[in-house]
Amino acid sequence: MRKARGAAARCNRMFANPMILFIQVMNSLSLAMNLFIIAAGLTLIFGVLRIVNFAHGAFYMVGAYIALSILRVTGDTNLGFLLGVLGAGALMGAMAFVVERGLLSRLYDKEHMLQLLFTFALVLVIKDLVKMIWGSGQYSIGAPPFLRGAVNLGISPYPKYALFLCVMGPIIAVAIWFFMERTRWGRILRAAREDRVMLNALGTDVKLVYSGVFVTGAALAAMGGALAAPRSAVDPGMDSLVIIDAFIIVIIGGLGSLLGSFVGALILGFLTVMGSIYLKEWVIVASYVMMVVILLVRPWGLFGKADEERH
Amino acid sequence: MTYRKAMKSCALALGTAVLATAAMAQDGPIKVGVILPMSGGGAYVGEGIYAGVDLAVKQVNEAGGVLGRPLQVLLRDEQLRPDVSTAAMRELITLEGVQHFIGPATSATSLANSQIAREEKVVNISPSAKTEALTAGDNLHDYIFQLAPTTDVDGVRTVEVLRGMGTESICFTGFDYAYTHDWFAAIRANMGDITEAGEFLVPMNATDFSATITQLLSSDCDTIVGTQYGGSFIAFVKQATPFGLFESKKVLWGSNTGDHAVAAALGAELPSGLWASAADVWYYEGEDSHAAYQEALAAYQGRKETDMWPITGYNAVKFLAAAIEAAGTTEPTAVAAALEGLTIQTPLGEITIDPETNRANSPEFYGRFEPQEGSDVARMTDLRLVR
Repeated sequence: MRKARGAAARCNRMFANPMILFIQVMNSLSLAMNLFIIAAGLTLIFGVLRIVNFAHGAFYMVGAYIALSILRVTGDTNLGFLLGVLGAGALMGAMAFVVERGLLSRLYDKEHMLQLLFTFALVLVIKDLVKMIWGSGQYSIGAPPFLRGAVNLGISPYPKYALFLCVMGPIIAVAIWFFMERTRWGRILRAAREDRVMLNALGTDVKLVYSGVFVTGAALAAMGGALAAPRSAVDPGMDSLVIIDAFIIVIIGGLGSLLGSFVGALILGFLTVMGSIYLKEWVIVASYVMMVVILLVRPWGLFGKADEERH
Repeated sequence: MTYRKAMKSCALALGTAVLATAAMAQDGPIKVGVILPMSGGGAYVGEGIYAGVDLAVKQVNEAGGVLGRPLQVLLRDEQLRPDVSTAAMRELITLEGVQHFIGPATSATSLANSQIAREEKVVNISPSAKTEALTAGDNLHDYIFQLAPTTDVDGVRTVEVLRGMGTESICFTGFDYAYTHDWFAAIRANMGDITEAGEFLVPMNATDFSATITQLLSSDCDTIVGTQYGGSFIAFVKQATPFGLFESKKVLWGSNTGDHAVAAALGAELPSGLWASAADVWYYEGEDSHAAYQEALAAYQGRKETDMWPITGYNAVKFLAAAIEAAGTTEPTAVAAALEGLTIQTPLGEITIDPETNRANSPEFYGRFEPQEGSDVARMTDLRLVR
């Protein structure tokens, strides 16, 4: 009863105070966009390669560590941060290329279980490598100087870096959408998603397409890790926390659907922030319940395609 | 050789082999099972405690061992998971014959392993778990010993510090788990005229605290008491700083956030004026025994600015070694009996295990973080070693 009264009081206080409501909405958007940047790469890889990549969280973690190393060299500057984010994407992409060409490509024609086991094994290998290179300690990356502090949004001041994430999410979403829907390479990727055999017969190097998608997905995860680092700690456990959220997003949005991931991230972001106020300890259960309900109504997710729609 | 003579020879050989094996077991190393988080987000805690264990074991063995036998550490990774932690303990008991354990690290895993110690009648020294539930009520048994100050003790100490801070009303925040509930309950039981303005818990391992931070800012409290630890504490600080939380409220944090590793990770981002506690700080200038310990630890770790976790593992080994010596045997029931009421000299002075509760009266540091000239890493000032 005490908990219920407390939640009701917080609810009344929040809706009675537009400033608090506004900040909580912004908090939800910021978290959602951070999660979307990570989930976008996961859904891209599944959409084309049809591989559920358990190692996506590990790529995210490596991205944060690479950014940390770059910032140690460049110093805590705006340029250093930019180099950190781009460098994380580039280096992780290069590593992903080696992994895809050297190992993963040998499993495309094998059963899904082998692919799952491979990406899971990759998680274990990456975790140990991270520990060997950076140790088991915790590190912190500061926000770039121009994004420190808060900016007044009229109703209330709001942290600049959280606002930056709110902006980055839609920019990345539009960039991926434009690439997929409005460029020749995007058409090839969509064709690879629908019928890779036919695409190969038409003379497109499908191997190259697959490598490009895996590299892009891994780079997005790594940049997501670098962008998330100024709001969190860089430590060897950061991958396991984010991968669950990323999977929830792509499952409720529809595996392989970019729009689905965007909407899924918004749903999970709002549920996490608002749920932590009203649902308290039930907030974790709530995200799984939401996933089950959505899958019961639409087993292929909100924006996914059923198999019969696909063929 | 007749059949009868051959059988006698075989029996003699077999008997000799059995006796020799038994003699070797008596003279061989004393196995100590050490179960700690060595991977994932908790690895920095496990590696820290293990450094203290290893240092102490080396010192004990260089001094001639225990009962003339060396200590041998068998390390297992508990991954902060009770199922993994209990499986590791059963494996060490069954396959390695281990009868003495140090660890696990956290309250949740320690509660699980303590039940195995009770069933299997093996000694279990908990170096770092703080929940009073570990050694309270039905959970207390003859084989579990808790070295870290428990939450009820912490509650009394915390309220003393809060009064010194001039606190009039508190907001509570932290992970929704045993340590948080127990510590907050102990503070409530002791805070007298200090009022409570709200409690804002988040699920374990949450990484986004923006909603909670907004709630804390809009609450009518002058002091925030929190429990997020490790990387989550770092995330909380980074998310709360742009909102101006640390300028508008006084803050006291539990969960050993006074650890130098936390200050080193946050560097200049650590808010000055934040009150915290720690099992040890390398810059404490007190007992000679502490200086000697820090010198040995610095040599072991190759750095002067050591973290707080090693002292917990170090004291656990020293207690175990002293108890085996006092018992004159490695037999677990006798060692457990020797641990009850045992007093040893530690780097932070004498510590005794209460024979009624099986809890040690370990001291703890409280202090307020302030920046240091010539260093990016803040240190606790107004340092108090509370006993």
